Amino acid sequence: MNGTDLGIGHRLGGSSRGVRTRRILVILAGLLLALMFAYVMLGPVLFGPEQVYKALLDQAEEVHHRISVWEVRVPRVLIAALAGAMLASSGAFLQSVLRNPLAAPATVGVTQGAVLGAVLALAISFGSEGALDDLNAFVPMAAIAGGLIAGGLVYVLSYRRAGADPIRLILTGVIVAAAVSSVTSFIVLVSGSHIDSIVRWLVGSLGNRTWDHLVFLVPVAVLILPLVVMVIPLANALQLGDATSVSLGLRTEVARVITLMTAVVLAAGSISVVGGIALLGLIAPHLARTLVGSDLRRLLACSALVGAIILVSADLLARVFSLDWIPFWDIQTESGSRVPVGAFTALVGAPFFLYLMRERMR
Amino acid sequence: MKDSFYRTRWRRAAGVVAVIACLCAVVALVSLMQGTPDMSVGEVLDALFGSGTSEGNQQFIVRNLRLPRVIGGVVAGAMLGASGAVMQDTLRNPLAGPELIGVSAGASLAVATIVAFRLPFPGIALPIAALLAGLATGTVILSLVSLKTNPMRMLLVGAAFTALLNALVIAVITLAPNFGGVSVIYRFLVGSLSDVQWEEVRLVAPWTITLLGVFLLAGRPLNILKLGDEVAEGLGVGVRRTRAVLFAAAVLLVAPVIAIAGPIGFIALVSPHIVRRLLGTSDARVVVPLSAVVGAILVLSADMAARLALHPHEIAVGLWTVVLGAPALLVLMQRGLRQRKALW
Repeated sequence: MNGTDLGIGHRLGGSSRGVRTRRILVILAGLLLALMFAYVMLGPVLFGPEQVYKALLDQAEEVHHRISVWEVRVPRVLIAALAGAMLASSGAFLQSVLRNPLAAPATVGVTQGAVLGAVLALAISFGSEGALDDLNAFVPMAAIAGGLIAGGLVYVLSYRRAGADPIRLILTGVIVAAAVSSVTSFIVLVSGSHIDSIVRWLVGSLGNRTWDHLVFLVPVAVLILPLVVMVIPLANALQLGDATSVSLGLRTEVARVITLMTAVVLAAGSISVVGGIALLGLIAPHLARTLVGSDLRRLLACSALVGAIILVSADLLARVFSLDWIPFWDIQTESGSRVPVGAFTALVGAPFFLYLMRERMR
Repeated sequence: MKDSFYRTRWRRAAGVVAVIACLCAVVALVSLMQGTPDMSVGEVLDALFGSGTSEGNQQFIVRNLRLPRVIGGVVAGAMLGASGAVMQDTLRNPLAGPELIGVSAGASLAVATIVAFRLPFPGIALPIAALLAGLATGTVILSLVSLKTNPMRMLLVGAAFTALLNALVIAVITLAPNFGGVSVIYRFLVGSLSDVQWEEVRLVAPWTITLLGVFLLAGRPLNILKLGDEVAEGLGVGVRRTRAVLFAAAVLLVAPVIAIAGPIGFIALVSPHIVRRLLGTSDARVVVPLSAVVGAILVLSADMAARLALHPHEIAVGLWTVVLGAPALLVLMQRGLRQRKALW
């Protein structure tokens, strides 16, 4: 599939571009690691770098260091990084395949479908007494199923004789998203109790995420990885347009279905653990594209890193906001719980979004 | 050609108007009857107009609980319907509507911020804040898409903005010091009439003057704008200015509705299409007022469904309108994609 390289420019400036990309990726990875380390240091009790280091190596002076590092902060930051990376890669796939800068898990209905699945599962399990809200594996499963069903519905609704063309797909996605999220609202309104936990699902939150959630997220990521690698050349060809990819010898409809399915699983998997984080899947690929261009081999790696960085730093900010040892910051939600990270990505992402729209709509 | 052609058309229009107006009155009456306790027509009429003969209890329920809600629903529906008709003709886009170009969501964000953080604005300022925010988001979105582009593009950009603004609404409400529960969220996300009482009706009342103004004054310029920019210029209409004024008028219609009931969706989109179908004409002079009546009927029926369908629970009215409106939008969109140009 080397025919999918993006033309002569690659051959002429290829090596320097490769070096540049590699440098960018290394810098981003370094940034991510630094942020993750800072994340582990920060919390209701502030740890120095040395204490974190010792706790990580299981040589902590005090037991509670080890517990708050290993049991609370490390799994949470790993979930943030992994979920952010998955969501952003899904957005990158969708934008390339649908050839539309506004494509994202949330605009094609996948996010809403996954949230519907999760909320439905939560509403059902609330019925049985003692079901801990989001700690059962039933919820993420239902979320993935919901995301897949919504994605499939969008595809079927936009299917015509010749296949599903991208503009129809994304417009149908917008409408299905609206309809699906109103069904979610029905359930929320009817189920009545446990509103707080459900709302945190709608917004996206990393509160109370533990190893149990990570244990669910990792297999999804690992299983999908080979598919992602396989799909990259297909998506690269598809983003040249249907006519070109047909002349490259691609069966466009099959390729599109496979790529979209990969994107859906990536998004739904991540949403199934952290909820419907706003804007991340839309913005991260755009940022990545300005850094490394639109060849998916580079774009995907870069989007994943950018997505992870955004989610980790957003949650870092969300945590800083709800620390009580910082004076003047006494923002507490009603339940005394922390500020959900999704609220933060929405607030911080809004200006970015406006800027990107201005640039891209030209 | 003028006489017979126009006469039959106006006769048809008059017939449709009469039927729809009666329908609206019937729906309003029925929704005054429904609820706990269910009342008969006679009881409702007695409670409304009678002096002291009916039970005080029933009189209180009808006059103070149900009537304001029904009036609020009628006003909200009328304003939304008219606003949709004006917007579609102004922008020459059959998919235009306050909810699809971000106006509703922007206005709702402003209202949600004021209400959630208890900002020191008097109640009268709410519609004004909604108006300013709605105008701002509308202008931003319209500056991103040119009117000549495919109408679908506006839909897409509007949807992206609406998603963003809705995320911000949720964020604002979760960050607010006193999280008022889920019904608050739905009031600002999809719209609900459950908070409408006499006070709210009084709040929108002055704004309905806009509605009359739009009825009386907007028809002619709208009809001219529909002919296309060049023709309109040729007829001596300042296209840009007229368009700006009419767009502002459409937002003026929506803002107070959002202030009291939230961004009830799809009414503005669907009602003008229903009316054009029924009348067989797109003459704005009849379409705009009739869209208002149809909008009122739609909102009232959706609100009845909201109150009664899942009885002990009350569902926000905006949810019903989305559920019913989304398929309609899907159909309109398919038609638009098939034709790829002006859709009427």
